[in-house]
Amino acid sequence: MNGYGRLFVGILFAFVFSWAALILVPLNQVGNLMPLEDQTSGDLNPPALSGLAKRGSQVYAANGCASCHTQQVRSESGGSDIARQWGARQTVARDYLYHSNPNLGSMRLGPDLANLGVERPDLNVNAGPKKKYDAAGLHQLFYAPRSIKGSSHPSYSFLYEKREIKGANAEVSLILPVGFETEEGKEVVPSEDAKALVAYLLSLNRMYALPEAPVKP
Amino acid sequence: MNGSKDVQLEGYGDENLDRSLQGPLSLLFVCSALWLVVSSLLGAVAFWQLKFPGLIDFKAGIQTPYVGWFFDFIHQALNYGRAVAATKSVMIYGWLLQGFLGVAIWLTGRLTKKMICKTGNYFLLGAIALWNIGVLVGLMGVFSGEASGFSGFDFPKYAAAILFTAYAFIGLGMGMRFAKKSCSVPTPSEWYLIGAIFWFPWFFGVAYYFVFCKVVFGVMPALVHAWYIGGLEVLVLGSLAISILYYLVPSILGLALNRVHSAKSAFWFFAFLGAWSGVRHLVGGPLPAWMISSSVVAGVLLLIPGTIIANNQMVPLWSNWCKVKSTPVLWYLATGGVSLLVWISLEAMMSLRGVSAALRFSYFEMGVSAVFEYAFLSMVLFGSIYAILPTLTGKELPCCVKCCSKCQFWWGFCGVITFFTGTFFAGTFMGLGINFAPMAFVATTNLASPFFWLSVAGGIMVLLANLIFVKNVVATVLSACCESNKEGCCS
Repeated sequence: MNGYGRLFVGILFAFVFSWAALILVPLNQVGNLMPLEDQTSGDLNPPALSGLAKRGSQVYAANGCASCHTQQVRSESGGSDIARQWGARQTVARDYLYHSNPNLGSMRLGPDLANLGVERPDLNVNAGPKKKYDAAGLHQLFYAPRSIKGSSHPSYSFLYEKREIKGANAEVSLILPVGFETEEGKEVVPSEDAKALVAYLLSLNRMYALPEAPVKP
Repeated sequence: MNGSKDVQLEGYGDENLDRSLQGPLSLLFVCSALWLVVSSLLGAVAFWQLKFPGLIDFKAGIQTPYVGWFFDFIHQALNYGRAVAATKSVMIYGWLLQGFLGVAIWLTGRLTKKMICKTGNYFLLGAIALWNIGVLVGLMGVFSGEASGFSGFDFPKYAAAILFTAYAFIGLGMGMRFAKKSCSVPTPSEWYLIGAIFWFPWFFGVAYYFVFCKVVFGVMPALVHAWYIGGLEVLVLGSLAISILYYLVPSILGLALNRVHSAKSAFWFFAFLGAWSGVRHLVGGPLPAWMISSSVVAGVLLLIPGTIIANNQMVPLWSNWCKVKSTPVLWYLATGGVSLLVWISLEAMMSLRGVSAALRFSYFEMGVSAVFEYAFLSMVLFGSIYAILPTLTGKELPCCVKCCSKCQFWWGFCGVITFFTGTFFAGTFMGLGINFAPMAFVATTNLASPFFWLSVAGGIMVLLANLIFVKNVVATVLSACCESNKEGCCS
């Protein structure tokens, strides 16, 4: 074998070594995790995602939400995530069992969303009375973010349709605050993508305890 | 590239060899330069939305059917999240990878001294066209909301498949020319070049299978993505840049490369540590600690080969400082060599848990990316293209191009330093604010605001430099085409 042959074997080995250690071994360690049953409630943790929420996960990824929001709570020694009440414990591999894309995120220009579907103080100010985000509030944020005081969220109004009111559609049309209402005789309705995105965000709940990540009392 | 004499690259054989690549390489360099400008403009649109989030929300005001549809599409396509994904992907696959592929094809010709036959040239042109179709299709996919959501691997499945097919032709051509080489001892430049030629399809192929074929769920796709990005950054793009540095610096200075033994050990360190270093981007993430820790260790140890490589470039440059001062190509290469070490140091620092707790997820990450993509890779690529263009055309660069290249260097150099300074302070204050739990989250972005404008100023300077570059490349290629047409007519 000449120098080129040895070089090829070396670069192949460097690749295979890292592939085996960082992909193959983890595949056996975290690739085969199963949900666990809660001893008191009998629920399986993490709960499975609905079909709509799974589609919402794709909408979340496709719109680059992860370039502003993370979905990972770090340990108390790794940052202030728990002190900010973004979660009760560090997130672990099992929490993402049903996600085809865990959307871990790369920047925090907005707050962490790992537990958006849980009742807690305002995410942005880390204080105030506990509240739970609801579908109407999220739709308002996506369609008319400027209607929410202090919000620098981009608008996703393209996920909504403005149309003539046809029959009684009050349960799906958006309720917008004063100054942001639509014209007389028109309503704003979310598309399937918008509904899926909201369903996904409201399903984000990693507050249950796991053996590898217990919740401190 | 001073007034009298251009870069000295002769003495490596046949000038016909370089001229035979004129068509494919001109196409590659022009396309990559255009994609660089597209990426810069997309980045500007994205960055601007951070301060003016309603910048492109035209929908409310426009009622005309067709015009309304157009502005609605602009709003969808350039929305912050999609614009960021498009910027990163076009930067990597349109500019950096494509530009470095051009450099790699030229370098393969120089190192193997094998010409490409006419049929091979047509195949190469076809593969380059296919690559650009892949980037365009991928960009349209991101714009229309089909991005994968994995930063740097955002193009949809079908666009990634086109890129892989195009690369198969290009990579196969380069591999075959090395296979025919009779010499048995590879040079340092060849180690990195051959490594990158093979590493790219291997990393890309594994990432494609695991991310797009839905064979794994949970955190595994994120792990594969981090591993792929580490491989792409260090082993593919980094190796290609180092390969050209090892070739061009001694060639231009007219020196033989010494310290070959240290260069060889640096290569093997670089190869093994680089392949392990990608997962460090997930510090604090939901993965078993051993994976992240081993990757952090690899990232920190990369300082050893990084120092050796930078030293191998900087010592001859420093000892020939007079020549460096009068040769702008060497300004670019020297900046790239130093920036490699700066980038590895910043990444090593970022992967430490204490620093990561404060700076991870802040603007600081944007600054580190700018050092890697612009100060290191792009600077090496600019210098290489300015060095290669005269060998393709057989003539020195036009005077206006030489002057503009100096101007471009200073705009780009000052721009990237200004951008990094802005993101450094903005990221530090923002990160410390986020890490101080009693502070409201919305207030943390206000802390970064004053420095944000510094980054904007840096970004504008970089954009200007990129516009000068595309003008230079297009002007040089067009003038060469016109002259060859005239020669064809005369003969």
